[in-house]
Amino acid sequence: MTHRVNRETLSAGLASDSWRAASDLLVAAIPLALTVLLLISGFTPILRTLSDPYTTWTGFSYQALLNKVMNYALAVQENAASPTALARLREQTLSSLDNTLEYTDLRQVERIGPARLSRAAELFRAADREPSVALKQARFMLAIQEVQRLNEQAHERIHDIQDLHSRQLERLRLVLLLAAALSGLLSAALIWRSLRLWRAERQRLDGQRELLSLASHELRRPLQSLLLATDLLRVAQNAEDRLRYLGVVESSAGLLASRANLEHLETMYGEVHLDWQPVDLVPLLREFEGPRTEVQVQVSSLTVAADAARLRQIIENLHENALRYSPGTVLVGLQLSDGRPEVWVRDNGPGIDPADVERLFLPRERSADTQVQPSAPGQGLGLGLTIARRLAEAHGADLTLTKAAGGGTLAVLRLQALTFDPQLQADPAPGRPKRLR
Amino acid sequence: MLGIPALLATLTVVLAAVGAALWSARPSAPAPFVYLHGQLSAPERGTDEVVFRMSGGHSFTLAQLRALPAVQYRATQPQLKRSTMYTGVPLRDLSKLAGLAGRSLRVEADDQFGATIAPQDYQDYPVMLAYLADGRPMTATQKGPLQVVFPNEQYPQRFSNNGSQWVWFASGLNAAP
Repeated sequence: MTHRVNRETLSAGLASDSWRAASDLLVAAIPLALTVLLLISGFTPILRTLSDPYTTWTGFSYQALLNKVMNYALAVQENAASPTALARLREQTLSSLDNTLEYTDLRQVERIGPARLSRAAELFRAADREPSVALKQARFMLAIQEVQRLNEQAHERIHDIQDLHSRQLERLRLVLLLAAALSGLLSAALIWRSLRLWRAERQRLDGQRELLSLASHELRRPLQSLLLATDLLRVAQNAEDRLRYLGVVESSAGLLASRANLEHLETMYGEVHLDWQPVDLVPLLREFEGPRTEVQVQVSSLTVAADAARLRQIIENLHENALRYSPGTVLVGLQLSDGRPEVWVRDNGPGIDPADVERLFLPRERSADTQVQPSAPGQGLGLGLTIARRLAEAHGADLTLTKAAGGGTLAVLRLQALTFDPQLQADPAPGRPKRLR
Repeated sequence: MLGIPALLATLTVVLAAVGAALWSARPSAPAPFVYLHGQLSAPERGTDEVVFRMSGGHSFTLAQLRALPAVQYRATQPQLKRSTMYTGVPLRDLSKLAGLAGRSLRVEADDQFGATIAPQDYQDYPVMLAYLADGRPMTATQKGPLQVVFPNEQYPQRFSNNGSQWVWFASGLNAAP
């Protein structure tokens, strides 16, 4: 049953994948389609105009008519041709004078000036009919002049058409430029967009990687405690020891459980969301007592508004750094200063150069003059201070590292004033903030 | 993944459709000439006027031209804008007689006009020297008695823009220089 369902969802996934790929291709082809559309719509009418045979004419038929009329007048004057030859010449000339269809744009040409083809035909016939030789000459002259005028009008028409063509070519140039600009712009926009998206994706991945390394860093300590406790449990001699080690196993497992919630890495180490509760700092600090750790606390209890688990993580990281980078005893203490509780961790190791301090809070940085080797391979990535600062900032607290008087490093976590009530904040952390008394 | 074969299939179909459209729109191939009649008995020259002269010394009277094998088809005269049934001698045959087959021909007219006809046109297509229009001798008004006629109704794509090659009052045939 499950197998079949899985196959269906798989094929459905593949189908939607191919549909997505196809639609992405269509989107990518939009600039191309727009350019082609623009080119076609702008190009076609211009091309039609330019390739129309009647717009590329030369006015030859008008020139040919002039030649015919002049030849005939000359032949008549010279009187050398036979009557049949003359008759044929007359027929041929009249065939052109009477056929308006052989002249391109005759109407436009006749509109340019006074010359008319019909008048030329009339004058020609009148000249041909004229019996008097002297008058015949004059009449033919008139006919020839009419055709000459018509010819010149035809030439003007050619110039008009050439102007039209150059205007069309200008328009064509504009259309091509627009098409190129449009497609160029669209392509640029799409390329820029995809670059932006790619960079954002890279950044997101880098961010996730960082969160994962922070989370794995914080899982280490509870795991170590757990393994140590189970080893001790195996060789425990009496029930009291066994109970104690079981307690360690339980608390370590609890810490693991809370820190292994990988789905919410963003709220744990990114945009940190705190579970505000009243927390008594004294028992929290007492947890850190150990063979190399001395807890110096004057009061019996001091309650603040905080997220207990996160606060523990801050102090764990500071404590771990102190243990690792110094020999001898580490001091953990609590004091009140200007109404603000301060948790401090002090060691007597090599200390920190003030110039290095800010750099140490960046992920994967360690002090330049660290002499002590990490106690286990793969440890000491330099993330501890990063985590500590982020969680401290989420609490509204200050975390500072300084050279301690008398050598060593002093880390101070300065929490908010005791009167601080997270519920009154403008942007309170979600969870269940409890009102302080 | 599945999208790529589908895309290729679509592309192939589109290209096939475009190819088919272009193929159907191509100009039609020339058909062999259809003759109205073969060589008729050639009449004597006598006193008839020579109407057509070709290089190499050949010349014809109208009657002699009409005795040559003839073609007949309908064409639209570009300057008269009229569809007419023309009868005449194919230029291909005249070029063979003049020994100019395969060369560019220069047809000359009475009014010193001339036009060059390319072998690609007159050898494959029945371009003719027409002497009859609608069965009757061509008048001067019809640009006769002899005119170069192109089969622009049979092959419109090829012969639609060559009005200047329809030689009116044709009188001679030579090799183009």
